Amino acid sequence: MRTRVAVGLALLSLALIAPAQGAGLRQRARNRLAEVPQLLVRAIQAQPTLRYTGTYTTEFRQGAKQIRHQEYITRDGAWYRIDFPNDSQFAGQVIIENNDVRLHYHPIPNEIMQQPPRHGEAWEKVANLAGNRRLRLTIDNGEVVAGLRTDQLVVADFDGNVTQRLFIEPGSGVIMKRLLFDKIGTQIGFFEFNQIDLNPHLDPSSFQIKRKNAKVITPKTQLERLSKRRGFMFWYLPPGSGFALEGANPRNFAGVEGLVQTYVNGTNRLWIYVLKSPVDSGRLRNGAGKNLHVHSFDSMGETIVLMGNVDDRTLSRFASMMTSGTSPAHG
Amino acid sequence: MWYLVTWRREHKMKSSEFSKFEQLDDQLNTPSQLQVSQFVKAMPEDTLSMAWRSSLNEKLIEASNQKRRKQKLAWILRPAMGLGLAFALAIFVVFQPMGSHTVMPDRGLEAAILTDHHNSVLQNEVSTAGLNANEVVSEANPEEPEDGIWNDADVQGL
Repeated sequence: MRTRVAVGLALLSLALIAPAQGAGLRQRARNRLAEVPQLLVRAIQAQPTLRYTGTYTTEFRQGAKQIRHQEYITRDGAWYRIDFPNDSQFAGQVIIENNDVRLHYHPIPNEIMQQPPRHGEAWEKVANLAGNRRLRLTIDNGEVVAGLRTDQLVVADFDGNVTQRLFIEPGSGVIMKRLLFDKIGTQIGFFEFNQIDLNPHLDPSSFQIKRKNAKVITPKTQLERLSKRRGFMFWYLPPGSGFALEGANPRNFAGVEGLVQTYVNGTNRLWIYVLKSPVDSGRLRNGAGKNLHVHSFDSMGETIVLMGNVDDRTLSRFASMMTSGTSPAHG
Repeated sequence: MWYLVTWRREHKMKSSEFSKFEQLDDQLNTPSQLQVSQFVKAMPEDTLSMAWRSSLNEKLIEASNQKRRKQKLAWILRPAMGLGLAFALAIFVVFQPMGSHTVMPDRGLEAAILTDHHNSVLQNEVSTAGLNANEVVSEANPEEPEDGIWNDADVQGL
């Protein structure tokens, strides 16, 4: 009886402590919000209603290459239209995106690729900067970007390693320029407005693609074509998983041919690597760290690696859903 | 005597053995034996003392207390053992050696995959609604359909 009383008292004390802990967490969250620079708060608050037209340059680093191109943007809140200059290798392509769908028109095959939208994920990551206690957010001198004065938000880890620099126009909250760095400080991503109109006249028809005889295809079709052309089995994670295929791309990893598939579920992302050589799963797990989960299996001479911020059990379940890989020629 | 006769018949007892039984019967019916029997019957019936009963009760209560103490101990030890077992199992599952895992020479493949993944995560933030890094470098953009770049409408329009 005494023991039961002791257990009861322990449970009671836990019940009393839990709300206090909750209150502590709420207080810490309030403190964190108080630490967030107003510049970032302004940028986050402005995102859903921003309206502008403009031209910007983006740059990605792929291996040793820096790949730069220009895009024209027309934006009305969650509606986006992207075009490309006439001298661009992407000339004629048009992207229309809203909160429900992304339509990417390719003029040469006269096809419209229907994909899940992706802008929400990017803006959510900006918003997450405010809540991430492992980051230090500071304000530094900005630059004049596309004729507008900006303030600079510097994002660094607690050791002072800068991971991002955002140049924000304080009046509108538009992110005019953004630089992203890898773990050793190499710039791996960049965009900067060259010209912007914050009070544009927008025609609703700008956000439509009307092209007769254009064939609407899905990323699954693209994956089938790519798998066949590159001599891979057709590995595909069905929508029953909750994740939708966004796209597939060929890659060469240290001399090994591979296909990278990216899947999205809201703001969650999953990567599937199909490789023509086995991987050392232990080495991959060790390198992935705590937050990134990895599951791999070998089948029919190919190695499939699933990677993402979903738990091991879910990855294992997804792997079992994928095991019906068949050649696209027959599938 | 009749039952002995019947019993003997059924069991085909030898005559010498049967005579032994007859002798015993006779001995029990002797006056001296009957007198002893009457004497025993006349003895007063013995009653159990209160002291003995009390000591028996104490022993029973002691035994019962011991059993209860053992039950209480089991009430604590069993969940503790269960938790300990579950914890040991969890430790084993988490830190179990990879049975089928074979160490391969490091060709840089795993590092290349992880770098690609890391860059992909960051670069998606830059592109927002525009082309992402994959689309910019990929042969999949623009993607040629299997039946060529011309569709029926294009051919008819020539």
